[in-house]
Amino acid sequence: MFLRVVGLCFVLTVFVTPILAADEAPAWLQQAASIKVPSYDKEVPAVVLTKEQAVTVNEDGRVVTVTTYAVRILAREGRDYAGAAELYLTNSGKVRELHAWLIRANGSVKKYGSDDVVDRISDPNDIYDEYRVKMIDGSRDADAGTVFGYQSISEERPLFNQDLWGFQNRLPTLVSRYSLALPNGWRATSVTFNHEKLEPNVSGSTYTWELRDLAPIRREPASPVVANLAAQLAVNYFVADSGSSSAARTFETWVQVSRWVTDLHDAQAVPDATVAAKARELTANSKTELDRIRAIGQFVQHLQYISIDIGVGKGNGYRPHPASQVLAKAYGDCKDKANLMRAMLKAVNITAYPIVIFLGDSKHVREEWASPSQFNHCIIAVKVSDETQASTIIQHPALGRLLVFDATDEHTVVGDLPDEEQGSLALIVAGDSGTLTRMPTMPPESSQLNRQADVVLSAAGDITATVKERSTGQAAVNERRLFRQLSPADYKQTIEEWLARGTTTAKVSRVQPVDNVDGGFGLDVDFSAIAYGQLMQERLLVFKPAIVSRRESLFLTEATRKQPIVLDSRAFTETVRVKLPAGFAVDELPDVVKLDTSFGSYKTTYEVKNGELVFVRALAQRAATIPADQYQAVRSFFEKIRAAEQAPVVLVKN
Amino acid sequence: MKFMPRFIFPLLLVCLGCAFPAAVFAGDEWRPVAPADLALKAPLVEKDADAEAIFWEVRVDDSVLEELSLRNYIRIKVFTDRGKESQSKIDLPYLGSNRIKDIAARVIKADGTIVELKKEDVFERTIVKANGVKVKAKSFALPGVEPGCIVEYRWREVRPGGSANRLRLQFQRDIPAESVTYFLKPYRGMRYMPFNTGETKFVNDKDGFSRMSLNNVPAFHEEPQMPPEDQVRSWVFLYYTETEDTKIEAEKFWKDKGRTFYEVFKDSMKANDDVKAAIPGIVGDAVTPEEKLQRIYDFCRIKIKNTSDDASGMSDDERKKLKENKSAADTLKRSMGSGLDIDMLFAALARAAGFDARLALSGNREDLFFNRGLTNVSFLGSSFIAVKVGEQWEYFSPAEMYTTFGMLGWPEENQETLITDPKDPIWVTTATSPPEKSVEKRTAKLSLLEDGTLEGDVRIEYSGHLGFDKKEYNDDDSPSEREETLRGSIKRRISNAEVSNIQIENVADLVKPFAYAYHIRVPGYAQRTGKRIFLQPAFFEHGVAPLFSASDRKQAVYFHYPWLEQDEVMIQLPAGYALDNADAPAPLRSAPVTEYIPSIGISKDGKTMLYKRRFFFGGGGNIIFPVTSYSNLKTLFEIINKADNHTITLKQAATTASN
Repeated sequence: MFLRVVGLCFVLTVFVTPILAADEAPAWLQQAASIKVPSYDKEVPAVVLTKEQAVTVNEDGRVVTVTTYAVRILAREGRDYAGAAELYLTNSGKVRELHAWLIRANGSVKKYGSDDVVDRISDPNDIYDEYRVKMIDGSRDADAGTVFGYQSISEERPLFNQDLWGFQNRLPTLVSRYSLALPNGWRATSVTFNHEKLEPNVSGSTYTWELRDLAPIRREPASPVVANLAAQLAVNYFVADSGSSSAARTFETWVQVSRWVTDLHDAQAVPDATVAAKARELTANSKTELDRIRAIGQFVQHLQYISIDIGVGKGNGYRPHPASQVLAKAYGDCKDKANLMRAMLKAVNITAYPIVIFLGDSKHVREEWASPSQFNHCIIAVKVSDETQASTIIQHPALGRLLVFDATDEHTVVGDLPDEEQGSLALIVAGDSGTLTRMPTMPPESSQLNRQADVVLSAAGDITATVKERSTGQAAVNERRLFRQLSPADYKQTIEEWLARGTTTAKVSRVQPVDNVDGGFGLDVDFSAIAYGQLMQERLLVFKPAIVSRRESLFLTEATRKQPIVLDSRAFTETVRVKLPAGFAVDELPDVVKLDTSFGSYKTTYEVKNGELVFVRALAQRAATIPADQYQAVRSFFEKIRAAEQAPVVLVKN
Repeated sequence: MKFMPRFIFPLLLVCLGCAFPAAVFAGDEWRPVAPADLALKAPLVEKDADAEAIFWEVRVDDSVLEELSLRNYIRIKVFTDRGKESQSKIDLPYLGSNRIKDIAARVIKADGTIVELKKEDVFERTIVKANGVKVKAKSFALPGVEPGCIVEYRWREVRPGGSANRLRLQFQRDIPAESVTYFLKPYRGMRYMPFNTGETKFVNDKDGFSRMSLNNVPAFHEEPQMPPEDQVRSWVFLYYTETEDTKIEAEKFWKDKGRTFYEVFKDSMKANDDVKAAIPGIVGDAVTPEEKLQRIYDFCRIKIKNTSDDASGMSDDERKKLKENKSAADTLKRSMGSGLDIDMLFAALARAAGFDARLALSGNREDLFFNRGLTNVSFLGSSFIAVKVGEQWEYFSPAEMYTTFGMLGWPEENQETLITDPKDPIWVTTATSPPEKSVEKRTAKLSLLEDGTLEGDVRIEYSGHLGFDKKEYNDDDSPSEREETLRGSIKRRISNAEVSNIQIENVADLVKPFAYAYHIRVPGYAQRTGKRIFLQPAFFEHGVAPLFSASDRKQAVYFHYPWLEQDEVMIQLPAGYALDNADAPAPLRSAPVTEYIPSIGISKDGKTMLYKRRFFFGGGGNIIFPVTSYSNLKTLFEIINKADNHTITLKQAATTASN
């Protein structure tokens, strides 16, 4: 196909850069490249030779960071690690220099200069985002045996005199070092995560923390996120005595964090006449306190999620837009929504407080480091009277009964909380009364999928079936999200694909979703399938009573395991009633399965009565993090479930 | 599909006498909103649409050489929360020195309330900048969007020095539209090719513009196994020609192009003395024309390094340093060249061996099904070498490294092809290779254990287009990436499979078939009850879902090429068990398109079962099926899938049972 090739030649000709002299790697990179690396499992694609950040803090709060990084590519699939990326905030920071080099296996060097730097927006989906990233991509030049290194110099005026340093990602790391040079009279303290307490080497006012020979962190299904496995360092730095000239802040307690965030929120949550009128309109027909909260919560949840943060370096990433503005535009981000809800509740005499939380991992926030930068999301705590009852109510020592609610998650109703927020540490923002508080955890029975299937089996093995699913809590949220995000045609197709996994020839005649305002979700499906059961020698009819496959399954096939296994809370019951064809009797039934472990239980039962087979299966899985040494028990549990759901029933012709 | 090129008259000249200030027609003011549109509760074009464009207009002004102006005005009715979500955020990207100007937007709520977008709510973002090039966007969020409202916005994109030449006008968008209109003002006579737009043409409009409208345009939906997007979407291709003739004769046009291409590449495929001198060493003792051509073909693929190939092992830097080959002799001397160089060398060597070899140009089925009525060279996406053998033209592309001798790449099969000539270029249509040319041959020697575990060794070989695809996919990967690809494909159908001793052969071999060999163990593959074991003999189809699951379909069904699957699965049965039933599913034939033949046999000692399966599809070159055939096609693949899932029963032998 030469036409394409002609085009390529043209591009190459135009952009060819004359190579005037051989490039040379800096001494630090040459030294790193000379390090003899240990042998690793073949799935380890690269090893970090050195990972270093040298942070210099100036009297005026300006911070200069020199990052030095070198990685040896061990296998071709590791070439994507040959890259440099430095994040910066356009209004309060810049990447002053970014240089990279690649040392090939034959010793020749390629230097990447300013022409190779790509400067791009951090999140292209945001309408406006001040975070940008400067990058150099060496992956196209890299291969097994090459060493890639880069050095960057960044400058910023941080919002907080705090920093977080990850000693490694998933790659093994030979030397990892973080150093902090402070002005005279300043001091630093640190907290270590996922590793025993690490003490710094202090020389004058320079602190250095270092780890060596860090092992690789394998990717394994259902394992903790890497941030909860890799060693991390959290640092506070401050003037030893009072009278700091730095505009940035540090925090010693969570109350201090609460005060700071409260200042950013409170002024924005004042309801104006429009906000108050809207709140009264929404709650006009509400009879109870909970009704009022629901009415306002539902309204706010359905506003469009759009994030526009201007002045992040000045704290605006934590400051919501005024409630009146959010109402007028009918869009906002999580803090805007929580704040509007708070203002509206205030208009109907209900007090509420923002909660800052981390969304994505309920184990992320560490109590031992008071810092706003541990959070990425904002929800709300509504002060409720004793008349209001819900699973998401917590008792706060100073603020009383608080109903926790996420005004951004449009699929989770008042009285429930998204899975990934349950049990998480979060900061209730209430000035001096604010505390880091454990979010409520819903009982397993509050999130359940129940399925009833009525099936008629013909003598030829054809089936007609009606399946009714009813789900509650977070189980319903998953169903609702699917239903609301897909068009009706795509939703129907998804249901068809799901059924086809268990019944090849399924023809769906009815798909009836029921999205209940109370938080439950229902799905009724009618379908038929030819030859679902297999007729053998005109006398045996074999079929699997688990006609509909479960939507979520965990497959643990590796023989060994290094990381703990993280299981979500999940409950599922199914009753399948199969009307057996006339003239056939049950010849064999699968063995009943009954599994009971510390992390979950599963059972199947079979009963034949009045020409009908009743098959019941029930799974109750508890949220747990199970040590790797119990892997075989977990694997066996899920393996037995898989086998049980494949087990056939044998009918014989009378 | 309509593809005849049309001509747009230079309306600018015609309408000079009645020119109005451009702004009057440029849509700088909001048009009145019809009460019926505000009151609309359900979409008119596509049932269940979340949002629908009431109108979508673009004024393409290419009347001045200094710039191209695209003035857009869109009005959309929002029906659902999903519509609210998808229509609230607007990004208008633009490149380099282009500009986005005159943005205005507003939301009209169902009660008639209007919320205007404020200027300060429009953000200019530099999405990416690198080496002096910037990709920017103007972005805004529409205020107050809710189901039932109408959103409308307009903007102008200015491309300094830009031209409408080769511009694609998309009529089909991601939402349905009651009306899509393009206004066009070229600087001189311009041609256009409409695709899937029915009989609609550009007609004269005001102020020197032509206008083309389509009404009730459904949204464009992607579906699995559909023809290439350009083939099925509604769009128009604009282009200027060298002359302003009102009519283009396709025959004359292509004759001219065929001659021109011949002249341009004549020297590149010249058989000079060096090339001629190489022939004896390459052809050797080959006697027949086919033998000679195969040796030349293999020489070009094996002995000449293809620097265009991603698996050549060359970095971008190394490619940049390469010297340009100015002739076939240069390529021969350096033993390396681009894909084009290699095709040219093949032609030169074939000529030196006494063959008539020409450059041939064809469409590319990956992008569009070419037809000579498409009188623009942009649509000739592929090239290769045509060689006359006897009275027949045969086709070769050694530039496509993994293409089997005697075959073309699948995108070039069944395409109208122009064989260049100094006088009379020739049109031919390339053939579609039969299923037997692209074979997936799978064998397994397995043992079934009493607990239902299946374990043994597997080998799979791919030839023809299947082999080409496998080699292209894998050749740039490391050995462990290739293993991971294989493991992933097995685990997608057998989630609990344990795979070991993987060997992947002939990944970059230009002649031998791509092959996998591995050991597999699948606990619980067969289901055991008290006295029976149920076994699916079609091991290679275990866990494979039916090809089609959706009950509805909008597009034709398209397979890239015909193929054949040949399976042989030998399973040693567990001691103490015997076949209770070994009935095989029924064969299925629908000549010439497909044939499915499964069979099950048992060894004389009753200890080993042999399952065979032969399935081909696309026979007779039948690889595209109209949407009206979807239901039948879906049923066919369901029946085959059902037959593949056929289970046989093993029963405990009486002696064992009594123990």
